[in-house]
Amino acid sequence: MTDQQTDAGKLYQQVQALRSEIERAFIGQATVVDHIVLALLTAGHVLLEGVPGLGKTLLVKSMSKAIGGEFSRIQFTPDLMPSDVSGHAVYDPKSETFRVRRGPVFTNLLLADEINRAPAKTQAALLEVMQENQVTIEGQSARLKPPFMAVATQNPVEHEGTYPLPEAQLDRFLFKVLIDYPDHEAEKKIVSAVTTERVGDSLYVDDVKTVMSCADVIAAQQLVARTRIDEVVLDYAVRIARQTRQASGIRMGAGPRGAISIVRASRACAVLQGRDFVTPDDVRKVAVPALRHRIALAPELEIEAYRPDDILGDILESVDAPRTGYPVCPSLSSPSY
Amino acid sequence: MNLENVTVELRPRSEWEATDFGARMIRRDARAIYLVWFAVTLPFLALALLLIFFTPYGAWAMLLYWWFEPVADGAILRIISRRLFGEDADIAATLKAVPRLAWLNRIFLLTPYRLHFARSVAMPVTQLEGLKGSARRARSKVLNMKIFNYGIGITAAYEHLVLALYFGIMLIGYAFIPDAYRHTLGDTWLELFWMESNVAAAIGLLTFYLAQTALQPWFVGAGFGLYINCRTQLEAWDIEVAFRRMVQRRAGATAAIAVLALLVMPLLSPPVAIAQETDPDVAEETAEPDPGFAGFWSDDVVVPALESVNASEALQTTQRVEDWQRIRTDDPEEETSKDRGWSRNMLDAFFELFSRAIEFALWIGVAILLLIVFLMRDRWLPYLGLPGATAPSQRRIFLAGGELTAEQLPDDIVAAVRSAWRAGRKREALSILYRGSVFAAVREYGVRLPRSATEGACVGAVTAQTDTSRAEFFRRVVHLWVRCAYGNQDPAEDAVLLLCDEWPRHFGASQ
Repeated sequence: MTDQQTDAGKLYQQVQALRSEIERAFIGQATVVDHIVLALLTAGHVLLEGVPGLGKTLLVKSMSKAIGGEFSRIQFTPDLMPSDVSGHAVYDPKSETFRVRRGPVFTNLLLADEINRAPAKTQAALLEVMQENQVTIEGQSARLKPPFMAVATQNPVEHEGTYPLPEAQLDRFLFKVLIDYPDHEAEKKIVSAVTTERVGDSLYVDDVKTVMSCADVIAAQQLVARTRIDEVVLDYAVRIARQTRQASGIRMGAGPRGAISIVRASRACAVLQGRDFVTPDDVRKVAVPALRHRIALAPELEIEAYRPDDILGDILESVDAPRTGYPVCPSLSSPSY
Repeated sequence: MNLENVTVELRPRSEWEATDFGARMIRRDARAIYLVWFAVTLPFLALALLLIFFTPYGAWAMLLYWWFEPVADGAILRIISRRLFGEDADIAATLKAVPRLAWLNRIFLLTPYRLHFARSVAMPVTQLEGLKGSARRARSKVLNMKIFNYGIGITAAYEHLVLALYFGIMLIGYAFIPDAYRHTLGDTWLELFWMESNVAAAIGLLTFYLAQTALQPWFVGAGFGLYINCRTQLEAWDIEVAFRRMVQRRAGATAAIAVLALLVMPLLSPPVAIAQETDPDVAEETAEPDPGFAGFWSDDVVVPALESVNASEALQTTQRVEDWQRIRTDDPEEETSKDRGWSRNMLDAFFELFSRAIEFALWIGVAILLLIVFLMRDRWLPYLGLPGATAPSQRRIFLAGGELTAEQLPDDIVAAVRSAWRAGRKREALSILYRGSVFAAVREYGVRLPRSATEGACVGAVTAQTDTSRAEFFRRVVHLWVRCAYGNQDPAEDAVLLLCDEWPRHFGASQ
């Protein structure tokens, strides 16, 4: 057994513990938790879309606690300024100097609630942080302390007075995760957990234990980055991303960052399954959340209420699985795979 | 047919009023019509349900049921036509006549005329006039000039209403399903129509039957109303009825007027010559001499009447009508190619060639279409539910962008795997084991795989479509193959040899 395999096995245990801790607080949304954990392991950012009241803040808070990291939340509003996000310099009359007050982005896990309610300038401030992992205040750059992950949310229902994120900025997110209502049993558990011996409806993450440290997360991210991916599997990811540019019904397909995101996320997906190598099924699993915000449907499909997921499903059905260089059977006269 | 006994007011109507007139005839005799409808259609419905539940041809049930719809139409047509002329339309006699009517209407049952765009106005010609072949076509041509388009309109309206009702009933039914159970039927109500379930097919058929029961008699009646109105106009039935009644009332004194009317009528309606009712049920009556005109046919009466009519001022007027007419050149003596000039000949030749080319291109298009349909049979044949068409032994298998055929695999999978393994060709051994298992799962157990299936999709399909032990065995095969193919990790020899030992228990019946 190689070191990589040993490390992968250890990481698998940690990640399973992380998942189950998050699921103690964030009940009945296993797929969402998986995607968030994948993004954390990939050092990517997530755009969460769901109606209010589904526990988006709770999700980020519980993950923050499970990794022993810091947590910040910014409620995006139309009057929010870029300096409210990144920080600003204030004049200290006592010392007669300007003192830098760091904004909420200086954290490990940042919840940017309803990001589409703020104007483009403020959105861009956050998205620059996401891309560069550093903040510039009054001409001075400051690097964020890793791990850093932003979870931005959008409400799919209320579009009045919102500023939709441009495609170029959407591209910065590793995943767009759709969060839906929990099923009946899960909702019962949520109600029971929130109301039993608790006053008010505050979010409690007391039950969540810290199972990883920030250093563990950084090590895990490095291990994920080293996860083996066969060339044919990488080619498969690229073919899927390229197909979004050729498929009918898509006005704008995914760029190279789409394939990059698929490959990064599929590595984490493999680790989540306890493997140290990527399979085509890992690629398939992450392709939809990695691409759904990078494609724009043709107007006629949008009018007919098609969703990007429908088209991506068709694309996945149309792209051939990778051919793994099947050897020719020597007993046969004609060449096979 | 005896026009004196007609039970409705015959007068020229607009076409849409005529369809309403037909619908009113249905309403008048609704009880008898619906009794006959149920008596004729329920056996077909029962047969279709048997087809769904007890044969593998369930997907054809709806189509077959729909195809034989004109059998019931014939019975409805018989009732309303007989009631129109004051005859008794005994239900038992109508049911007894159904096979004969079906034979009369066989053109609508056994040929592509089943898809006739204006069947409701075409059926009376076949059934009531008993015409066939060129006589039917000539007769239809005369009637179609006036009512074909309206017949298409009726068909279009009917088909749309039936579909709207069909989907509406299904949707209402779906709306009453509690939310907790809806997910078992799929994500949306439209998935009801694609469910591979006998119960769903039966519900679909029964819903269609309900929709059809509500509308089919009205469709037949509307077409019949158009047909009767067309004949009333072409053959001046209303005038004839009026004169006949006048003759009856004033038998002696108005003889000349009656004769005059009979003589003038052909001038008013030239096509009357071929518009005779020949329904065997009513033919006997038409063969009898008409008592209303007995004694009026002697030359002493007719000749002076004719002369006086001809001399009347009304027939002396002349009118000049100009119109364009195509000059036929079928007779070679009438116009030779020399007379027409070279430019006309060239133009004719060009258009002849052009039309031939278009026709040829169309036939090529049809051939290409058929070829595409044939080549894509693997994709659409499964939806028809034909066991022969989806025979697993003939099914093509696509894996990883290529076709997997029996020729690509060794005759003895297990021996080939052992041999490759012993020779140190571990990847090849596992490849044969994996591909052999996929091949056997499809050919021996009818597992369906999408063309884009990955290893995980194959495991999912085998798990869903075969028994647990076979699925577990297949999962182990795939597990080893995936580790070797993508992880570059060789499995333990024991694990591979164990799979070889177990393989014949799960697969290999086709070897």
